[in-house]
Amino acid sequence: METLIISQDTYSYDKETAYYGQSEEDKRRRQEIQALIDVRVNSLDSKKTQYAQATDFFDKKLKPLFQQRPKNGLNYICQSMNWIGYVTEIREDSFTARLTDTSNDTTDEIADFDLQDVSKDDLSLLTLGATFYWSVGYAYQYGQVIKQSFIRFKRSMDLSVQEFDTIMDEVKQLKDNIVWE
Amino acid sequence: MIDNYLQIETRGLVFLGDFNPAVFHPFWLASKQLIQEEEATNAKIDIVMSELSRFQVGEWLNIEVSRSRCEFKTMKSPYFLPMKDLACNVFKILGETPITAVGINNIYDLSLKNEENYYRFGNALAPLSNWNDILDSPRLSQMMIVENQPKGEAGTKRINISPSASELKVNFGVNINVNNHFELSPNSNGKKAAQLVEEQHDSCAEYSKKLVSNIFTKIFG
Repeated sequence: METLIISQDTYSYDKETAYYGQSEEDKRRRQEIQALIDVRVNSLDSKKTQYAQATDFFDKKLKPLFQQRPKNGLNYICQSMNWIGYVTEIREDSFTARLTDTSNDTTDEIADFDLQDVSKDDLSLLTLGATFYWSVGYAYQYGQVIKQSFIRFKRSMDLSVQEFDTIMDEVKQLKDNIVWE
Repeated sequence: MIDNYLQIETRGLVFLGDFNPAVFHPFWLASKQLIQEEEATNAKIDIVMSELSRFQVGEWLNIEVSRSRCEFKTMKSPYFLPMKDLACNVFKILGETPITAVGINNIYDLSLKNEENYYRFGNALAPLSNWNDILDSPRLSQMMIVENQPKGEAGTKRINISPSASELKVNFGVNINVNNHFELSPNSNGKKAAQLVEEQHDSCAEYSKKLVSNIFTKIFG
């Protein structure tokens, strides 16, 4: 069975009917959806690797297909200071990290954070040596300026044994090529 | 230099290749621990079908995938690195996906603050005196500069300059869109694309910002 999920607010029928309904109305809606998808896919393909303009509030032709965002749908961060943190110590209610300013990496800083600053879903990523991103700044959300600070832990894929061996081989080669005076 | 003018910075990562859009679903990303469970639960899904998949995760990430193109984008600078991590992780998992090209896009919406600066900017890029005798009140609307002979592995750059979209509400806004395009060798796959993004992401960002700063310095001093 092919996956089909379409925003329920836009088309008021469920996915079973959408794909398997045989009424003339169902067929017409399927054709309508397909035509809109084709327009969108063609427009994306023409962009190649260039950025496809934000379409939350553009693409009037595609309005029926996509969820309608709030009229003032702007949600962006306008000014922020960002650090990359490396966890150096973990305590019962807090942890310490070494921070590198992403805009000025000349000097590292040390800071303590409360565990309550960490999202529930990120707590499992809090281990010694873990990397996180800390941001302090101003966000613009639907017309409201908000001062905010948040932490997000880096999610990495585990290396396979083969990848690890390849990296270690490359490191060894680099090390062997160093000419010491 | 551009910090005085910069209002919104957007970043996009685009992969061209052979994709199955139906795989790209918030719950798939969460199952691979690439995003938080809560983000997957609260994702705003526009569509997930075999031809097109499009959704927003956690109010910070937009993903849109067709059969030949996969794009990640965010307008929130603290999430530039998490987005890079996520895109790279996706293609490490889908390592055998055929990928032919990668685009690292740095987009700047800058406010020129007043009409005088706005006119000055367009006039500096394309001297309007060349048109004054034949057109009434000419103005520059948009232009594209392409790097014809890129050096080494820096990728080909394509810079689009146009007015900021009115919906963004940037006062006397100019949009400068720097596309860093990388063609991959034949038979390249997701793993190679992920590696390229890891290697080039930060340098592209630095270079793109420098490029825009350079133009602004030349025009506004």
